[in-house]
Amino acid sequence: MMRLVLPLGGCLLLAACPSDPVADPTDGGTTTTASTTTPSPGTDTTGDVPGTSGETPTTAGEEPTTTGTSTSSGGEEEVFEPAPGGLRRLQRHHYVGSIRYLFGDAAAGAAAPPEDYSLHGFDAIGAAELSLQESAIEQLEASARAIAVAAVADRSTLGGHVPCVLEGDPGDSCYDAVAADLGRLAWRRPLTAEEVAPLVAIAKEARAWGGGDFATGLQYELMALLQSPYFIYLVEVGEPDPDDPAVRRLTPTELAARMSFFLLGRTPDAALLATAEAGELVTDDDVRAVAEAMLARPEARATLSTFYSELFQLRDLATLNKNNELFPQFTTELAYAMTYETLRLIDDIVWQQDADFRTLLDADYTFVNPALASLYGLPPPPGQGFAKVALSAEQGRAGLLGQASFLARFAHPAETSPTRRGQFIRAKLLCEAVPPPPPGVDASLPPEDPDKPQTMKQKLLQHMEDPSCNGCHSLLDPLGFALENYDPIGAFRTLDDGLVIDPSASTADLGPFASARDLAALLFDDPRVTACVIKNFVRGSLGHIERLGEIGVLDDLEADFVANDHRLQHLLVELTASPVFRAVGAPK
Amino acid sequence: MFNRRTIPRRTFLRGLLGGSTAVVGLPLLEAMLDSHGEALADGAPLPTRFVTWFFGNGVILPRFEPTATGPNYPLSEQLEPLAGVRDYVTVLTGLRNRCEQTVTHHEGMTVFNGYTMTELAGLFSKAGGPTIDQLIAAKIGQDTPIASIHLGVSKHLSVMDSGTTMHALSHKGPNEPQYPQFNPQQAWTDLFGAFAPTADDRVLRTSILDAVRDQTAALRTKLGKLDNERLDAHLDGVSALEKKIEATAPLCALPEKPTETNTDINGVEPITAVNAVMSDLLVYAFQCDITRVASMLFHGGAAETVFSEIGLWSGHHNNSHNPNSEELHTGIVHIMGRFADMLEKFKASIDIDGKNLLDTSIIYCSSDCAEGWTHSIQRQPIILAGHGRNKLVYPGIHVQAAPYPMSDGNTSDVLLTCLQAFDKTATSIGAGAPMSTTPMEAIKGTMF
Repeated sequence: MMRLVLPLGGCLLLAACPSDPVADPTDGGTTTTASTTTPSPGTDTTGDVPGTSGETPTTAGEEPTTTGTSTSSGGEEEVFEPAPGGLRRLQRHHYVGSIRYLFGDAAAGAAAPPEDYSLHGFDAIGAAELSLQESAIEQLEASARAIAVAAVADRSTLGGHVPCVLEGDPGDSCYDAVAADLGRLAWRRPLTAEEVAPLVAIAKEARAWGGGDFATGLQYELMALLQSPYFIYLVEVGEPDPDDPAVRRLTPTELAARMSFFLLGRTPDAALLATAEAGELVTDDDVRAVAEAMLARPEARATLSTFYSELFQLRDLATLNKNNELFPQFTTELAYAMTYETLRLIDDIVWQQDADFRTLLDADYTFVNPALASLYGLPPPPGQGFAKVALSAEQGRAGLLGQASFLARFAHPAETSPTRRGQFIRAKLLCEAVPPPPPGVDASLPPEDPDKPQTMKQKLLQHMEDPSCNGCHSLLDPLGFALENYDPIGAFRTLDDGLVIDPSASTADLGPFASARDLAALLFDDPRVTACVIKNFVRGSLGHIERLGEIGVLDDLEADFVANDHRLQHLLVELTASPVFRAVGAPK
Repeated sequence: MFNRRTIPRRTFLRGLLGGSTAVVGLPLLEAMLDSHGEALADGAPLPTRFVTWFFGNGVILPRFEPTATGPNYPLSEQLEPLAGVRDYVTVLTGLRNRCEQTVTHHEGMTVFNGYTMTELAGLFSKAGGPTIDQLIAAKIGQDTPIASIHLGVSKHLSVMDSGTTMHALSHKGPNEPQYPQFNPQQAWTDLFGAFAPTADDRVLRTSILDAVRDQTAALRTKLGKLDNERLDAHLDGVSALEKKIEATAPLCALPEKPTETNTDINGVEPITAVNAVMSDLLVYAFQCDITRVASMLFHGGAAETVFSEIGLWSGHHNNSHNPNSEELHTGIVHIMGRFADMLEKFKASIDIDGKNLLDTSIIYCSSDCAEGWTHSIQRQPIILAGHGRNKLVYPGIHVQAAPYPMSDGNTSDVLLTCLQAFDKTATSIGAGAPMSTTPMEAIKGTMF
């Protein structure tokens, strides 16, 4: 594989850690942080790309070098360059969501597609780049079989798409109808006669093998449809834009599919495909109207929950380990309640109030059940379910950063981790990349003297005295120091190892702060947070790190998002209508 | 086309894989041997197996490395769990991993492929080239229904690292990680599920795969290089599945599907139990000759693994940042104990020709650094277990490439030696600084 050594990554990393002395004397010019290998496609432009936010505060004196494709700083002429087209594998929730739509709940329950594997922290990027391994191909066959058996046993949903399967004794012609009509839904485009014929042949072969039983033929026909690469992979290669043949835009059915998977987490329905095939999904307003209709469907809520469950790593809470002796109250049920609390707040902001999405950071209320109320020291809500409650002022909580899902997820089993909590804020809320420790650094904290207990903050501050650590840890750890009043499962505390906690800290870019609420107030007004909300959809839904050639369009989207009160529903609609969503580069 | 077996189906003892116990004892499969017992019935040489076994975050070198070299070396504190299989264990110390980049942990994985990782960006990287198990599987995988199997024990991998390097032990290339299976039930399905008796619909399944091939061929023309490589991998998977579909059922009874699902209860991950079941499945798969190549990711580098099952409640990775941590030491001994569990099962098993699986296998074990608090790869230890039909030295020895704390040589020399044990034509492994063209003479066996 050809490898290009670009200065881009290195400069960005340097920019992120101004005092990082990077040099590794044993390694000549090939130190880790000073050079970065990147592939020709998918160049990893991290969050602090020039142009994303012109005021990256820590870049004093460092001029990041671009790859030479375009420079987008300063609003000069920009060349829009979309990400390459090509294949993206359906993620598990796409696959299962599609099966639910095509065949119903029982079949969705039987679906067992291969695992998702992430790159750069996003399953969608893994789905765009990684190959399936051999065991995955077998799992796809087994999954297709289990789905087909369930779908044939209960044909009520399938019959809604292809009525002939509900007839008493369907003839072979019904296999043609399944291939054409269900195939169109599963493959997200009309099938050619040449594509229908082998599917029907398999159905007839299976029917003969099964003693003439229609159902047997149907089962194997469905298995064939679901094992096809046209089901398993989204094919997004586009066509030349008639208005600007230099740009490739998604074909109407490709766009319909991308929108449906993005907003509803499933294959597009027949009506949408018909709209696309009729040439009525072309103008920006066409796209907006379809997107708005999608957002009114319940699947849109579920899909957004799936998105944030991945982004905030809430889904890991179910298997998170905590020290059972220290935290006996950390049960599966409590972990689930933590997850639900965060998703419930997002649901409230986005769907019930259609409010400023940054409320996620500074909300002075949350949703708790009795177990969570107990964890937070709040009076229990009536009943066993969740209820909206005001946060207590004394604990300094606000929004996501005061929630146990985040605080517990980014902590160790027995200790907090200011570094991890800070890293989450950098990576997922500010879209900034923080480089790894420099080569040869000794990661050990100073030995503990049992007669001289130290708080976590004191230990880490000592660690930060090492100049090779300080450059990056000064970006991360202070953010976590402000959250030291929340223990490894998110409960409020004032003592750490018997010593009074001092949550005051500061970073060069944000200034001083001493609580989740302080951090939330600073982040709320930080334009990097706003930009990052958008970038996360590019990464986590479209499956690529945003590219230099997309920055201008993303800036426009950001301005529009700001002008529309930071409402996420509006952003989602505008994103689908934007060139970032609708155009592709040459197939990768 | 896989069609080597011509022996009629026979049923042998049924294994007991219900719990975490039960070394599965198969009788000799004489039917598979030629009249002299020195080759398979079809004249093919007796099978030799290869396993990579990985554990994260290194060791504590002064408590790990034996104090004397050569045969009959004394076991160290951290190697003591291997006492029961010591004759089969060779320890290599003082070797240098010559990976060209260091970011912590990722570079350590070069001991499994001899390549520097690629697409490095922060704590992201992809494997720079194929791992040794895949090179060996490419050589011998066609002889069995499954070319290679990839298993894992602790599912709590690193959350700070991203990319493929730290999340898969086996790789065919940068975009072709072979991720481990952590659920023993699914591992059973991957290994044996295809042989469970069902209605014989092989013709239909093959027809479907033919259609998939045709569709993929049509799709290729629209796509670029990267995606065509992904479709090639997809087609490799289709061929592998087809090979399984067409394979004659193996000559042994299928083990029962395990009940273990690798589910944590109250924060306790069932590591010992899962390791035992995975080891049983591997023993069974080797004895049945379903596959000859495996990778075992015991627990990840920089991973979230907590050995709470033995009362250690701080994460092992976190512990590894403190050289004086007794919990780190205890964790390392626990890891070596689980490695020993697998080796003991290999030793207790009986292969086709009456030997045990340590006589007929080579197990290559290493970590992602020498010691966790420095993340150094300068003196990265390697353990070799089994001699693979005397391809490697037996009884095992301790080879010290340089006195502590120095380092010398190239860990990839060990890789090349193992590769040549399966492929005499191999002349090099890896690329760039970590590449090796010089196998290690000291560890060659009498039949090398």
